[in-house]
Amino acid sequence: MERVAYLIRRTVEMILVVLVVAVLNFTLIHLAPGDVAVYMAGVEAGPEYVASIRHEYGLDLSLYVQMGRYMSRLLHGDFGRSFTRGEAVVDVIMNRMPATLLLMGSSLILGAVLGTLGGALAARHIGSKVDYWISGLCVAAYSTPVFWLGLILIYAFSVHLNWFPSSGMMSFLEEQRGIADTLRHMALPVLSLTVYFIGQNIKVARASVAEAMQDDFITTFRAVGFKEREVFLKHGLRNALLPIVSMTGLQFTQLTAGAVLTETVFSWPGMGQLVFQAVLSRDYPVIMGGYVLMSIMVVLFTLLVDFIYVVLDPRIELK
Amino acid sequence: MNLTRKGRFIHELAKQRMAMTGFFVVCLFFLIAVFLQVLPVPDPFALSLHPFHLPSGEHWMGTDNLGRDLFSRVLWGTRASLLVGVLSAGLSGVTGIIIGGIAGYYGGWVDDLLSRITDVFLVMPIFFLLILIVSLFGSHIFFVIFSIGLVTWPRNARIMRAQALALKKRAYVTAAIGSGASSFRVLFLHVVPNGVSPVIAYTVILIGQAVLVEAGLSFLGLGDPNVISWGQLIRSGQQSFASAWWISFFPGLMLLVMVSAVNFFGDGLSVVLNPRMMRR
Repeated sequence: MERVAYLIRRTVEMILVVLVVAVLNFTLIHLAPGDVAVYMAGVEAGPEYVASIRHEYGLDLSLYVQMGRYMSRLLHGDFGRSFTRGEAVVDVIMNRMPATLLLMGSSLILGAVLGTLGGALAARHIGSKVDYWISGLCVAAYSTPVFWLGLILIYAFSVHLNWFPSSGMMSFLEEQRGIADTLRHMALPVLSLTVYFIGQNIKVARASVAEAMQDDFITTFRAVGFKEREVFLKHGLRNALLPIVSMTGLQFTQLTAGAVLTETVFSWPGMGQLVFQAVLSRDYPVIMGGYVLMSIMVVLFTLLVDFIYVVLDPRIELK
Repeated sequence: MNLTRKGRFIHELAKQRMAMTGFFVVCLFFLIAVFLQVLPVPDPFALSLHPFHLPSGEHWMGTDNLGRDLFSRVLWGTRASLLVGVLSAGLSGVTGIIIGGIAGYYGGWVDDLLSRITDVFLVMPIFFLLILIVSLFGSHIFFVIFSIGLVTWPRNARIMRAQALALKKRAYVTAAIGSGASSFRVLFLHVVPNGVSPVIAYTVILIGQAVLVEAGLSFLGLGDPNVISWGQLIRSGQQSFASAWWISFFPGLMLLVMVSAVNFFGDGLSVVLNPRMMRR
């Protein structure tokens, strides 16, 4: 019962987060210098046209009324229409969402798996040469700028070796498309995005496995005569999973940053690029919609991680 | 007592080989940034008749599309990166200390309110927020610094809050309150100085993060156009990467070296400053 209450409380908190993000973005956009109506009408437009646009989009109303209107429409699932494309914002974003989720999801999973393995390997041989190299390389991994790594990967694997395509999500010709084709397109962007997370996860996994291996119950297992290998795999490694789960929850937010940079380098047709382009062209409905939907995504993921955490660890303190 | 504590701290830190290496590399970058004007390198803005020149004895890192010496431009980039890294991490540290300290020390509704605000910032897509702020309000370097500092404080606030919660029950704090010190004085003269070390360690790591964030913004074309920065240099070489790789390669390598150095130093600091980790 206590757990259900905890999860409900977290859900309410997260809904609040989305609302705060929406209000914050609305305020930022409307505080910004420059007139939206002029942007939309174009620089050469006459004052009557600008005024008609201002009226049409309700930009002549007071800020509070505009915000109230926007929030109430938002609660009904209406995100408005894109200034530059004329389509509904939800459609524009939903078109791009799968590409971003594919990129982010693969990197997150790959990063968690490889990071745990690497960290466990380092912890198994703690203090050795192996540990030294893994720990050193993992710092370098999360110190590497993703966009720079992307450029280097393109140079090596696309320009020189011609193993993988350098941009896009699928081939131009219809008959070349398919799962294999998309996987080939994914290789470089996913790799450049994953390296950062492998580094972070190795650090977390190494520390938590090393700590677990010093726990009293592990000593007991050893004393009773279990093989070291068995103790390590069954109990040491298992304890590393919880910190990795909570780390992955935090990483999702960072991943949105990596996504916009990676998508730009590899011309990946995802949300990051879409929102970034919208910011440059001041397409406010898309910016707002993109931010709100992205926060919803982050929030849902955070809740999922909370949920997994509660299930995995019965000892967790529900505060 | 203070001296021995300090001595032990330096001794422990010196044992961390990678941390010390990181520290010296960061110091080297600092020296470069400070003494840039007197270093015997060419003018970073001087054009020449040798665009896209391969790295050579004359141009150590080659030249860019306008024939400017890349080595000198990369050295100039050190200044922007360090400035952004140190100032925005510092701002984030101070904000985190104030908010986290107040939340942890006063507790009650103040804590509830500040902690909720911290939580909101923790799950917000920060980089997107920065893109929005910088592109709407301008990309002057001090504005970039201010924005980065303003969105990265929550982790520091959490650390400081936990410290304040633990420390406010200590005897010396009770004694200070008992002797009539104001709560403000107790918080900032007794609680914060004694609990600040993990915040310092995390703030050092934040320097590296801030450097990467600034580089990312500059790479997207949102950096200060009047300042040479590594992100901008990488951006400028992106189009010609296949034929002139060095233009983007060297600034990125410098980023990697500087951020790694900061991280090694920060990791070493957190090991030394956290007695629980010292046993390992």
